Amino acid sequence: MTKSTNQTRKSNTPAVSLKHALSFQLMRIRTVAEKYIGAPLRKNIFTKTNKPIIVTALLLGLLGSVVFSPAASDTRFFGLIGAYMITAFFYRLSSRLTFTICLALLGIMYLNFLVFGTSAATENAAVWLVLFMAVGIAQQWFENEKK
Amino acid sequence: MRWAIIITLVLFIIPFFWLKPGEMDLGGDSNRLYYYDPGNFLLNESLYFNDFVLEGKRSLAPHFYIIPFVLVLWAADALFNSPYILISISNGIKVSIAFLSVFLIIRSLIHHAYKDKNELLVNLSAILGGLLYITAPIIIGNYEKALITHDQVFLNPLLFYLLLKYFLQQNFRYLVIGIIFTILYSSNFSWAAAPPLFSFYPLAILYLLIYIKLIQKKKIFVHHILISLLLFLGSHAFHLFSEVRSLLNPGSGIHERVFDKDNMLSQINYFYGVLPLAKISQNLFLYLPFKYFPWLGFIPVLFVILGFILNRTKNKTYILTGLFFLLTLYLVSANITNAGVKLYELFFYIPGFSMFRNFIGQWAFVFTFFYAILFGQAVYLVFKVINIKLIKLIVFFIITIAFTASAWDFFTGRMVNTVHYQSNNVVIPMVMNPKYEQTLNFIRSLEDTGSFISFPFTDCCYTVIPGTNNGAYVGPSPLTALIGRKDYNGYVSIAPFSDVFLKFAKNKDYDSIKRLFNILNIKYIYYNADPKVYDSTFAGYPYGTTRQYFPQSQQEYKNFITNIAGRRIFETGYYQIYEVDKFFDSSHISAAKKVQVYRDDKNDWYGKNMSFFMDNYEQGIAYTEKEACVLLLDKNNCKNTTKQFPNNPRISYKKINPSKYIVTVKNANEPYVLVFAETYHESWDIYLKSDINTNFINELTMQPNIKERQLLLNGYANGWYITPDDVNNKSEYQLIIEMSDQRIFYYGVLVSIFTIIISIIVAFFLSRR
Repeated sequence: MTKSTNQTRKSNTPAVSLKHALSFQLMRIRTVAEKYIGAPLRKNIFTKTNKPIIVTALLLGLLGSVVFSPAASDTRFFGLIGAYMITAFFYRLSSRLTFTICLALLGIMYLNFLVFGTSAATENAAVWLVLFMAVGIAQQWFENEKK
Repeated sequence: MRWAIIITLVLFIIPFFWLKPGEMDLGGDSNRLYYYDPGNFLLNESLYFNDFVLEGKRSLAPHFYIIPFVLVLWAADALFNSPYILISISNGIKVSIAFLSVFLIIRSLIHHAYKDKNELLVNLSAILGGLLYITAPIIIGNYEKALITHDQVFLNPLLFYLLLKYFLQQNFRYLVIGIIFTILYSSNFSWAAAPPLFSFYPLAILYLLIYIKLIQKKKIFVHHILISLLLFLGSHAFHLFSEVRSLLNPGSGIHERVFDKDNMLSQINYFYGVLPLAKISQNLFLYLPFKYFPWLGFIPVLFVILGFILNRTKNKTYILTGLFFLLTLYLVSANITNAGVKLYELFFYIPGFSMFRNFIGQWAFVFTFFYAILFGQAVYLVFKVINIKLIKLIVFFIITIAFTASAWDFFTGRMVNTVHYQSNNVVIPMVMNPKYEQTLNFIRSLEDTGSFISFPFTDCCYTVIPGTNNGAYVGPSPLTALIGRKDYNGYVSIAPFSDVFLKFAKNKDYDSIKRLFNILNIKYIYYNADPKVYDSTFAGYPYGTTRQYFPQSQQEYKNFITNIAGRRIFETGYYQIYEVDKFFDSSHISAAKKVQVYRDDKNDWYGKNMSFFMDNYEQGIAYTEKEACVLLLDKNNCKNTTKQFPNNPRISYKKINPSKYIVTVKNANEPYVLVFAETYHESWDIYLKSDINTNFINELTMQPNIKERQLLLNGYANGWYITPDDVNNKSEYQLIIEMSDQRIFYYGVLVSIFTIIISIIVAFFLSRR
């Protein structure tokens, strides 16, 4: 009896593709993250009322880093872009916002380029632009998947 | 589509106006003398192993990859009989096919991504993408001194397009067409093209696989890919076999560059030397080519970002292209955060990645390619939201004019008609001087196989030939490329005696210079007394360093030549050929009268080559390492650092081709050392010629019998210690000296011919289906 049930179950199970298996694992990780990290964060930090403050603070931080602190620093690059990615995740920020930031960064970079040439400030803005483009591209890919 | 065809035709015609009829631009590091005389180039430069100097060490390297291209040129030369036309056609193909391929790629990607029936919109976008590609600085640069791999400017997009079409339509015919192109331009699929080849094709294929599998969700026929890979490898066997053999040979320059760990560290140092020059901003603005309107440099990257904002359907084709754009931007600029630089450094520990040490130049082509196809799609996305047709057309024309203006110097030919670096307004296009052609003919008529040395002596390995116009050829020696003579024309080419030679020249040590000629088997001196090739015309390059050691002017050079040369045997105009002093005469193949071990008491850069000039001159002396002497002769013979061979046999020889010599030995009753004054290579083999008449096939299978006693003599030459036992105790016999790797080429040719025949049959059946 047990043997035949097992056989029936085996034959009825649809073939699981690698893509599905990966998506399932990602969802599990996300659920765990949401449960143990996401939920408290969403409850305490990434609340609706905090959204304008967090996003504005991030953008000001970025502006400060691009305009007033031309020296390259990995801590600043990865710290800020990491914070932006987390914010984008919790607030479901769209890729259009990220690319609009890219547009602003391009403007700053281009002005720097015209005035100072390939100075440290220009390259700093260029690194920011590349990092935000990378985030934007990733966001747009996931937006497509979701769609 | 009609507009694209018209633009393609115009682009094909434009290069015909770059040079005047009769002019040629043949110089540069790898020279393009095949346009001038394809027949002789094929016979002398392409069919056999040639000298290859890497970081002061001489070796031999295969250059078979150029054969199909030169064969086609040979046929075209018979038709047109004009290097000017051949060069113009070649440039026309590069520019027009590059544009057309990028246009077709963008058109195809947009069609499949958006299913848009608005042909005008699609075509305008694709045209702008194509224009961006062909006017980008990296693409328009280096036409005047194009390396053999420069054809990548059109081959990259063309093969990408054929692969894309194959994957989309699953039609095997596209792969066959692609393989035909790769055979014709084999140079771009050889070791010489390693950086361009490995920078483009792995990424391009990865892009296509992701595109087809994840976006188009089409099946990939693995058997198609395997068959085409086999066809590709089989049809390229004529050069790939020898190249793989060189790669795996620990003594070869290619092997050293790919696998040597010390070399890897020096490549990393090189990478850090180049790093400060890599700028992300410059790459994004395409080096701001719009020198008249710098603000236009903003356009491509602006469109790319706008494209992402306007990508409302979140189309994955655009996203994927953007991803590859960023990836190649990282590879071309490296300088994206410190962590990015560190990661890049780790890549150099992958065997072979050191070929990308000059990463700015190596990745620029692939970056520009992905930039162009991303830009074309971005233009489409932006134009799609503009509802008024007139505005679209105005924007299109503004960008077209901007791109054309940015490359105006290219389209008008000013970039090809440039002046030689550090010269006094000597242009690159030159009209060949008939007197130089007479000189070449005279050299061709010389029966002796001895080597040449050329003066004025250059820094690297160049010869300067002034044309009858205000132009000049500056590039590798035509005596080697067109006549097959070894020609020591510069510091690099005379390795391992480069520094020693400069020292002798500086000290006016004429006696030692003549002894050096004897060691290198130099029999003739080529001297161009024209003030236009030295004095104030070429005050710097290519004589920047050597001028400090050699005479300062042609007037002083004449005196220098008189002191080192023997009899003058030819003169026309400024071109003179001398024999060397007969007292220091040597032979290409001879028996050493004495073998001497290096003293090791002078520590110049090569280590030992001053030893050659310490004692009084003796005819027939050969130098070798102590280890080699102990190993090959015997301990007692090497004790006194010299071994005499008083009863040497009589040696005569016949050159069958540059890779094969038949040596006739008479009166050989004792052991002796045979000296062969060709660049040392362990694949130079020697074997006893059979008394029975043998044919070509028999000789291909003959095995060497004296291989284990091969010696490196005089720092560069081959030698064999031959005992009577080796030759069946005969005193009169014939030996064959052969570059055995040449056989690999012959086997490769057979495989290639077989594969090509199979491909033709396959293509025939496919066309009937």
